[in-house]
Amino acid sequence: MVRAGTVGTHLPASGLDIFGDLRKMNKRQERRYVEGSFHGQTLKSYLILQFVRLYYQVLNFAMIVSSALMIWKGLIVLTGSESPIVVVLSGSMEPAFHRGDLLFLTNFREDPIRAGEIVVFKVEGRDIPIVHRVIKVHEKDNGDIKFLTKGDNNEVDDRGLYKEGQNWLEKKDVVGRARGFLPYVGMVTIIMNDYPKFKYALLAVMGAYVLLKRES
Amino acid sequence: MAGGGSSVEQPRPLPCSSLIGGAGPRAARLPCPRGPARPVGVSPEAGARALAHVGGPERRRGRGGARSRNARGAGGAGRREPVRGRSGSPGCVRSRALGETGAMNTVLSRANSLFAFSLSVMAALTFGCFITTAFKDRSVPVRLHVSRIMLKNVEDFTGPRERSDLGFITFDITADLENIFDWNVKQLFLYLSAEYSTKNNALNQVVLWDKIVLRGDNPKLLLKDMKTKYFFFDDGNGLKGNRNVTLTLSWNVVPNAGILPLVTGSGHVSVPFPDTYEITKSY
Repeated sequence: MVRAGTVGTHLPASGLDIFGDLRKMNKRQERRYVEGSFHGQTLKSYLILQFVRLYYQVLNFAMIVSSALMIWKGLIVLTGSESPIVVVLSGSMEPAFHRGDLLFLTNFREDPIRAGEIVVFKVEGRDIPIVHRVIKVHEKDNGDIKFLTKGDNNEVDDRGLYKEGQNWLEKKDVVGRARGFLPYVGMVTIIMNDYPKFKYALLAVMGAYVLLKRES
Repeated sequence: MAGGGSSVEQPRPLPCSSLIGGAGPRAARLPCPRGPARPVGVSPEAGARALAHVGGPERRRGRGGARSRNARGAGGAGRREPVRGRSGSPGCVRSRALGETGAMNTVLSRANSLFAFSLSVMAALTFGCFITTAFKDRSVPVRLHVSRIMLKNVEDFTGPRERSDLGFITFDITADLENIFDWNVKQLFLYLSAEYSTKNNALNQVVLWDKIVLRGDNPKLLLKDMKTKYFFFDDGNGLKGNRNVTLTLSWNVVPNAGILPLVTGSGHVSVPFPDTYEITKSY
């Protein structure tokens, strides 16, 4: 319900106190509706009222979207990783992780990279990050680390996946370390990636639902 | 107040839903004459009294103003008061559309409720799985033994083409992993890693052997005379004469849902590597 107090003042230059009416409607209520008339300018007030409702719904929607964005950015800061939640796309870590599983990553600088950890890393020149396990670590005195990874389900290590001539990964390639796991939830993302029509259909349905939903 | 007059014959007004889309929560407070569906916010007594005024035949009449007119006209002034006091309205102006959305009388709304309910139950179960095992200690004692060590110096054919130290180890593992498995453990990824430090690198860790133990597999490990699965190449020549190469068995607990901890078994073995390279023999 539109709160007239927050919406504002009288409409200018129309001589029509719609918001005053909205306030008073609480008390007089159905008699107005039952009798079916406002100030006699039924159509104008009806349109204005519709506009106010639509504006309110748009604001509501915008607030939901910006809350989601805030939560995501907050997670990025909290975990230190540029992508704190990832979906497993391939089967190279089976039977631990299957396609469609969700992983929660952290990337704190004081956590050292050690053998056996599951890291999500990006190879230079490729966008898609890879989830594999660290099998070799060589760390120098000054903190420089180089490490090698291998997928549990692969026979050989990942040197074939690295850049040409690259034998080791470094800390800067790491997107995050897998700390938590949730099965199957990421399937929605995979379906939306593989069938873009489904994604557009879902967005259209959600948009229609939000815009057309009645306040009842 | 009741300026409308009980005996005035009014033209049937527009149903509210078409005018302002459902009329908002005010109208929702009105008792609805149609069937048992009662909108939120109205008390059963007010609803019953409103209906009692109206009587049998009027119930069939349908919507909007006809209803309210009858409700106003039918009862006495005294009877009318409690109804208005509770819901503040003289009668029902609910339209037919609202009467249906609140109920479970379409396949779609039933499917929707079922889906939402099952989703929330699954989420609660998953969270329960996670929270009941989040703080468990997953460590068990492990006995390791190394029976044979050999050292060579060859070109690292697995990657950097430099001559590096290549170690060979034969080892035994005894461990009982049964206590680790509970309702939230899907599998254990065991790995035997060698840790040592050299002149070039302050810390080196190399995984020599790994094994996946799924839930339901035999959890007791009794391995003897195992060869390493992976080549033990050093980054340089740091294994020669290295006095302290520590072997530990660790595992990564993969849950059904929740935290992925790395646990080291309590029990390790430190072995020295020989000072000379083995040239003639093969392992």
